[in-house]
Amino acid sequence: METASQPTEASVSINVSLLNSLMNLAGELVLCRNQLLQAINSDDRRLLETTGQHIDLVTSEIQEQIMRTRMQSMGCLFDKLSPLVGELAGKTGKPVELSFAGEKVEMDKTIMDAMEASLTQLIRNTIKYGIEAPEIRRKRNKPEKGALEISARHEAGHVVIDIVDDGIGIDPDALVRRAVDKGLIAEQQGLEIANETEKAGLVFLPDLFDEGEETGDCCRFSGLDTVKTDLEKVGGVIDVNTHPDRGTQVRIKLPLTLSIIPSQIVRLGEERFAVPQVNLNELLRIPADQVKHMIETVGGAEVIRLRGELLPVIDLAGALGIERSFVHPEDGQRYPERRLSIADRRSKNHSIPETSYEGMEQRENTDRRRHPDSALNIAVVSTGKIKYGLVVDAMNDSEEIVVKSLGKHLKGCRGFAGATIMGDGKVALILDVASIGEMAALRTGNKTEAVVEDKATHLEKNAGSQSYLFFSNSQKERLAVPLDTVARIEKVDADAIETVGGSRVLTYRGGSLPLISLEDAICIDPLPEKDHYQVICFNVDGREVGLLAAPPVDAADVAVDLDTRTLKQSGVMGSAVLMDQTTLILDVQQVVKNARPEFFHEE
Amino acid sequence: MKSTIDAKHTAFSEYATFYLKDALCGIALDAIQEINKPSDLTVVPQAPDYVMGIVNLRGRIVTVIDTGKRLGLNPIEAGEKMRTIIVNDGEESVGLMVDRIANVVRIEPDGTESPPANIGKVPGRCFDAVYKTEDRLVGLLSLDSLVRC
Repeated sequence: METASQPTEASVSINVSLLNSLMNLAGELVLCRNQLLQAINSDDRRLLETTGQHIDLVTSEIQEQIMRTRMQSMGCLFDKLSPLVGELAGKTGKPVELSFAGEKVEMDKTIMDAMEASLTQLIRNTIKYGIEAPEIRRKRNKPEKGALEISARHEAGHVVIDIVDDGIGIDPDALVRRAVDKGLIAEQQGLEIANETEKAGLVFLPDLFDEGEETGDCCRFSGLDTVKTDLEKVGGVIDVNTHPDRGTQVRIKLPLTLSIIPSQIVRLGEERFAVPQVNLNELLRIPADQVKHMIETVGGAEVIRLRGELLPVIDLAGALGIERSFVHPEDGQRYPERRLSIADRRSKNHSIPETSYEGMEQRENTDRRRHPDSALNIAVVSTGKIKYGLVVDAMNDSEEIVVKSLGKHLKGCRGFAGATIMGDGKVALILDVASIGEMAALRTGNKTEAVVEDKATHLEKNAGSQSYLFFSNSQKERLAVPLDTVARIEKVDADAIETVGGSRVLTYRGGSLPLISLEDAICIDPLPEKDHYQVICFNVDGREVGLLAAPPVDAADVAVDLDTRTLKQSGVMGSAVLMDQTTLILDVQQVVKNARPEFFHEE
Repeated sequence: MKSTIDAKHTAFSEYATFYLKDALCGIALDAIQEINKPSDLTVVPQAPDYVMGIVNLRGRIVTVIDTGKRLGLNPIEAGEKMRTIIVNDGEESVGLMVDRIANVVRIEPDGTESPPANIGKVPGRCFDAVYKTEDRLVGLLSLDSLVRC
């Protein structure tokens, strides 16, 4: 923990061959510069192009080699750990058989330094509490020596470190009980955790175990909340897998390096900001006409309903205290924003029917708030405990950025993790997702609590709920299919649909996707002719089928009280009143069977 | 003979002078790394009001300070002659935005006077000294007071 806060140590040892190759590359770079000067002076375009390519190659190689100078092998760390294990084993009187794997795995020195304290703490915990005394081990038919294996390996741009022991493990249910008893989680919440890994993850709750408290079997994870936060600081993730009596596996996943990070570039007004990819969950674009339905206000804070989950929405401009502005779609000028609420899409002249989606289609399109440019762009970000939607003006590309620190005059600015230089030479700030969340929470006061509360009741209400995808065929009827049957949803132009051999198909990714209209399969009002259709793709019997549908297409978690009789027909599982509207729930398999019986005859 | 000239030379201190609106100020020349035309500034939200933004100086991030505002004078007005004076401050570089660059003046060691309690609206502690040319007064700024947070 101390090492994490200290600046990196002054020296690293570098392989001479690495240094030599760097020298070579530096020479190469000088050569490139001379070529470049020559090309510019002689105005030779071809030479300029080849030099450009050459520089490109040399720079990426230099970058790679320089990165390697920061890399250290795990062996160095392992060397420090084995005396520690020996000492602890001696102190506690528990013989431990320590084994290492993956000494050659390399990682950034700063990350390794930052993680060393965490690893030490974990090992201390394991030997102190996890591994039983020899006499107990004998009774339980285990070898007298406890086994502790620490391994490291590369996995998709990360280093994964496993700490595995064969000790007493922990009972996940006991953890849940303890967390509930201590009032750290609500009882309801405790009951809902079904996943064993999630249960074991409770050990990271702060205050779950008091310092020095003896609780028999389960007190082996003291101080784990700090371990978790320390690792998160360097972009790490920690998981626990445990079996009572068989042992525990702690898995730490760390990025290879901190200085170059993949990021999503977002735009706000004229400025660009980088959101580290590790914090990014997904990107949402909410069309202008649906904003009002997707964004709700709970206790004064704005939230978005995303697949049945309520997420607080933070406006980046508001959180940073920048005046919100917009570019008027007609004259391209930038004006200050006067709206106070994101969900405010009303114009002065038109009153909006609050209830129906149909009204949306007829609304006049002259209001700026309805213009396609008024669609909301939301980056769903998360860090540790908090998850929220960040409203920005636009999404740019994702890029690998080099992190640079800000000067001392800007140390007081919260919300930034540093700055980076973009391809055009301008500087962009890197957002610190955690502190922006905190800043917004400060400004909205107790509103976030209201959101959490609402979320809790929402979860409670939805016990036993299922995810459905809602859509319509004709504008009047609402239909739904279980979300897990849906492969994906595409928006297609009517022109892209061909009629071949009496059936409609969509040429898609080099193949033909058969399309079915719902009115061919079940008794329903036909789908009106349109310029665009939504195509919901299903996998039926290992074959992809597209179902033509009309917007709004929306997904939600709902508890369904299925009525299988009132509106019974082939292809319909039943009906239910969902969100105050009778909704037909389809049996996808049967729908496809009705529309294209030949698909099933082949077999 | 030559050595005496050299000795005299080293005794001189050189100051780069510049205008903040109409006020003529100077900074010790050896503290200056370079003087640049202003490049694309990135505004940092929540920064102190005297910070204009950050710029990319050959791969380094430099904080640019509005020298006028920093001294409690009028903010720098965007113009053709605007320049950024890059000074080194320990580990990092700081850019001082000024309205216009003037000459380099050579000042004899005993040519300066200690600053009065205030010069216009600017408190005297911002100056190391003042220097009188034939026709006007040059405030020699204390770099430390400019770049200190």
